[in-house]
Amino acid sequence: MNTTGTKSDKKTDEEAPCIVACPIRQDARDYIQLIARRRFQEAYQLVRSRNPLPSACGRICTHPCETKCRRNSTETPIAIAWLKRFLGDNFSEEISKIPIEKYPERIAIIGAGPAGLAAANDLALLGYSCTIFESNSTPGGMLRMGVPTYRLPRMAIDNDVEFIKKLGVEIKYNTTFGTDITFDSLKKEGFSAIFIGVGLLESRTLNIEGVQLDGVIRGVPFLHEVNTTGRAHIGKNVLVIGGGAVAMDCARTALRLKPDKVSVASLESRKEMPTTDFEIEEAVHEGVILHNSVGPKRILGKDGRATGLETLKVKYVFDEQKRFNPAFYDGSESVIDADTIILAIGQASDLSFLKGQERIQVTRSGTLVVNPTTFSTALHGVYAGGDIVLGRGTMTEGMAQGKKAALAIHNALRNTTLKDEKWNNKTAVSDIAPSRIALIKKEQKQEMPTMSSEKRLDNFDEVELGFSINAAVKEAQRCMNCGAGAFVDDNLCVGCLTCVRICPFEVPEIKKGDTTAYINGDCQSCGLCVVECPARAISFKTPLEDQGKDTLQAALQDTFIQGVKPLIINFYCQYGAYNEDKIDTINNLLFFHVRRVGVLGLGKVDPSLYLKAFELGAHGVLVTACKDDTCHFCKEQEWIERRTKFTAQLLSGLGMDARRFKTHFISSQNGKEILDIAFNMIEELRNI
Amino acid sequence: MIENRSDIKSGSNLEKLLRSGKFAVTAELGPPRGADRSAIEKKAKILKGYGDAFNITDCQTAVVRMSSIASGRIVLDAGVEPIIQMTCRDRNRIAIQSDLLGAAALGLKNLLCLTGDHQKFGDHPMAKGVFDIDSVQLIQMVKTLRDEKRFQSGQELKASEPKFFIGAAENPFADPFKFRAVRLAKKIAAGADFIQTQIIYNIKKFHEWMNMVADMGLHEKVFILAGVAPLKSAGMAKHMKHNVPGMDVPDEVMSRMTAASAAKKGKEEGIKICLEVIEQVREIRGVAGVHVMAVEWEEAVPEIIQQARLFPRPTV
Amino acid sequence: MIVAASKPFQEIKQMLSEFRKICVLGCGSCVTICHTGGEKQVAELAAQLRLSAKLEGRQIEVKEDSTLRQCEWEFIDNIREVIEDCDAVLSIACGVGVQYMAEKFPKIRIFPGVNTTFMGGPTEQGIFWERCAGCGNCILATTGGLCPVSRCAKSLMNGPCGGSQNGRCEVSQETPCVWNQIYDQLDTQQLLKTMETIVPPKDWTTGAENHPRKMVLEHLVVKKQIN
Repeated sequence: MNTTGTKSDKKTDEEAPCIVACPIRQDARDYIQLIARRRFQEAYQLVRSRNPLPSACGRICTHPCETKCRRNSTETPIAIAWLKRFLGDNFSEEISKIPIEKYPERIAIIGAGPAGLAAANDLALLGYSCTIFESNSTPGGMLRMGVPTYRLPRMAIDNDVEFIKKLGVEIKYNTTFGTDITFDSLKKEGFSAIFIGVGLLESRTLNIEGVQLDGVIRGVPFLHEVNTTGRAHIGKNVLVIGGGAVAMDCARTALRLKPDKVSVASLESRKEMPTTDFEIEEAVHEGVILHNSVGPKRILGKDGRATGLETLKVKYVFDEQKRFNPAFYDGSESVIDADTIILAIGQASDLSFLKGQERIQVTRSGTLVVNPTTFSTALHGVYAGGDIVLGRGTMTEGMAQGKKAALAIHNALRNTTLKDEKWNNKTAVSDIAPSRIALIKKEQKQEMPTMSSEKRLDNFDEVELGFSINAAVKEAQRCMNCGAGAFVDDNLCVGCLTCVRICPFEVPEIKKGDTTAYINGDCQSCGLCVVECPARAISFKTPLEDQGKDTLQAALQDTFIQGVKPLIINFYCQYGAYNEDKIDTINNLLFFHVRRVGVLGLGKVDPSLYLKAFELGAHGVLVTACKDDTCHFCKEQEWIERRTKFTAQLLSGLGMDARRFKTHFISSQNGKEILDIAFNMIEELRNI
Repeated sequence: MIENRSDIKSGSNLEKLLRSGKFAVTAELGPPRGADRSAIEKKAKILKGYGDAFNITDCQTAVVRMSSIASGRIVLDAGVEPIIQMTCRDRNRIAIQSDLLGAAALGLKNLLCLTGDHQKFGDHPMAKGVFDIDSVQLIQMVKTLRDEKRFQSGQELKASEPKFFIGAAENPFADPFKFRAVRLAKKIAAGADFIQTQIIYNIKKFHEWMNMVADMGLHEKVFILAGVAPLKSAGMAKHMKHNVPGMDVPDEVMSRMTAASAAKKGKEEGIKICLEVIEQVREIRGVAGVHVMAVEWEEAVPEIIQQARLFPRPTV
Repeated sequence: MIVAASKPFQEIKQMLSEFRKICVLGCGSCVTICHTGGEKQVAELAAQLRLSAKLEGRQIEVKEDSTLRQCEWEFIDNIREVIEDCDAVLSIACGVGVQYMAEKFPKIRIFPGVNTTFMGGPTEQGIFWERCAGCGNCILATTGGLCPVSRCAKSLMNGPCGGSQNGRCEVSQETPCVWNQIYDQLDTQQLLKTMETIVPPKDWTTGAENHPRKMVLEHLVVKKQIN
């Protein structure tokens, strides 16, 4: 972190916690802010520019961003992942021109999982020709093998991969590293660098009596089979051993094969289970029986077939050093009956591809040793990332390693020091001051529509149905724009204290010894201070906030408006205008005479902009703002009233007819009410 | 009676009466908004014999009227003793001293020293107020001219000094109430010989103030003339209560005037209340006389003075 | 600080009616803080001028600029190019700044966009009160730190007058009677005795009545001409 810079530098060095928390530093806040402004295409492009697998990621990411979301303090975090899925599902980007292969070097990527795909994506964009070698016949790696289709429809993977292929990446399927290709063969083929992202292909097994019995199967192969064929051979009474995400997936997948009963035996207590609450809840909701804090002692069998699991009660799973070291109560044996036992206790590496290769080092747990910043192995030109390095990692952690390795490969090949600024360590905006929480309006999280539980178990269709545009915008508008709000330029601030006095959230302050105001990360981006600052020293950090200026300019530059009379500019609050259908109705009905300039809160609109609208050719200006009871920022009405009154006085001073400038406070920025207002204004202006 | 109270300063009728211990009566005579001396003479004729001296206001409420000094001379010519008034609003210390030398030369002997109503209330609100000095300083300046024969600057007078019987105003009903007697003491220390108070309707509060004045022994150092004024109507009472600064009109007076006005007997009731006030203040220790302010209603003065059994006026 | 109030736009419009190339010039100090002469007001006034001209079918060019203090030769010299390119300048600095501009740019017409009103400060957001009259002879030591020269309607030295009621001034009900405040302050400080003393007529030699006033700091004077 830059600590030698000026005070201003330090102020901007804070980053939204959602972004800091993300392994790939996805611009969560910014794409959400774009959705909030209904700029969906840009939002999609922003996501895609950082994330090669947005559709998949929006579904199965463990979203540490949401864990860190500062909306946790006021009610519930923003549904960041679901919003990304909304973009991935509904928008795409036409690749108008395939990136030119600037460089002659070819890169081999082993494995078409998240790490490999990310590395290939980024290297292709940098200008390299990449070939992915994949042992399966389809791409996605563990996403395809391990994640059930009801959580991740294969179309979501395919769409994302198709995009990467359009960048010029070639994928060779059914090609196993170590047998079909080797280090030597790749070198001979002329590849300048190799990225190994083979993942963990071996399912761990238990070292207990009875594991060899019929009916004892392994989790990932089970999932893979069902994911591929929709079928698997199981009995009537299924027991999954394990407490993680794969265990939940196995249990829920098994349920869809219609056995009599599906149970899960987990070492961990309900709270300790290494997966998200959401997944556990869904599993239980669908009918899975949970046995927590039980350890497997032996698998019981009869005639060579498994009949059940003898368990011991768990004393603790982690020892005092917090290491995985389970201990059991003696004599606490009991039996869970089962004719099928699925082992979902983790994955291990298959390192057979290293045969004859001694330089690459391997850890005790069977992962590859790499340089933590470049992801290069000890073997020159060979890089690795993803689960083969992480052990058990998440999808985004894998992608992050792929991305970092891609940049390192480029730097090594080009002998440059290109940097990705996003990896800089930035301090996350700290938690909202407790005293401020009450000042911030609570905004209810949007519910994710899901398939009813009766329907679910008949098929492998996706359970979560995705946000509508309306829900997505509303959800995105909950975002507090952390770390991208108002910012005081020390060189311009005259210390007048206006911002300190008028902020509804009491954020700006002039600290003891300072001569200028300071606005910290609690800024809610209402923009009142930006407009009122007499020295124009306050601006938004985010480039996404134009305070209506660019929108107005664009609206009035439309050649179509030439000759339209009367032409009305309607400044409206986007917070009060989320209903998709109605907005379209309005735009269609009034399109001829009215141009709408939407702003997230009219408190950030400078009265000069109303004058500007007239200057640029509008015949009337209609301001429609929300009433206080619906105001996202709680009390902007008063300010908007003052400013519009001031503007009205000014205009009448210039001899302008009062009917040309109207302000209305209405509960919704759509619907009949606003239609009536606009039509009346059109009629009135016609009569002037 | 202590020494300085018997030591004649100006030789005016008012001064002599007060020093001889007689209960004095003063009243107000507003100069006209024009150059017609007959208007003054007419008023003087009405008032003559019904008071010992008459205040000639100095552009009261900052409205332009004939000058107090010029009017004073006309009044004197009509055989009535004037009390000229001087405010600090329109003149700086140079003009004030100059005019006072002239006033003395014209034979005017009683002078009431005031800061003056703010120009904002008058007919020329855009005028620049002077306020070079304040009333306390004015009193002191007049006393210095008279007793030390020096101008305010300290320079000596080259010819005879103006000998004024120096008056000042005090409002017992203004805030801070506790300071009001102290402020009176300041005016006495500055050189005031007599005091005319703000119009009294709230006898209780006036009494309270007089007690403080007496406790400080001030009533023995200065002649206090209690200000009274007949109300004409409920409307005027209301105006006095709410719009005239420093005026205290109790609810009881308000309701009496409201009832009387309703019965078209406002003037009668107003005079009745005025007489009651005179009756009561006469009983208060330290009250040396009354000052009747019948603004633009000079005709009421003879009736009041007669009914208050203050007629005929004594001579000295 | 110096507090200035915006001039009515009609007056400004009238002053500038014959000019085609106008610069609205803000000042980054006192008048910025009192919200009448900062960059925000520059933008607002410029927008008004442009719109006003458009409505009247006139072609004008309005530039927007600002400088840290218009009452410094060097700071206004920094914007010489912008100024000399205009027919007229609407200076929204206090009267000091306007005059500096007029002296520095004798060929350009400089117009005042604000009415310089008083020295004071904000007592709450958006409300400014006079606090000092610049009398050149400060008496705050004897009045509990509250100024009767600037805050008493009649600049009384021996107040409060008979018009003080309920802590308000007779001249305006919204104005606190400063002498009442002085009384309370001195009461708190157990210095009420001070008010028993007659304060003699004030020496106004140093006051506004003797302008133009001048101050020379001998130890800082340098020979170099800065204008």
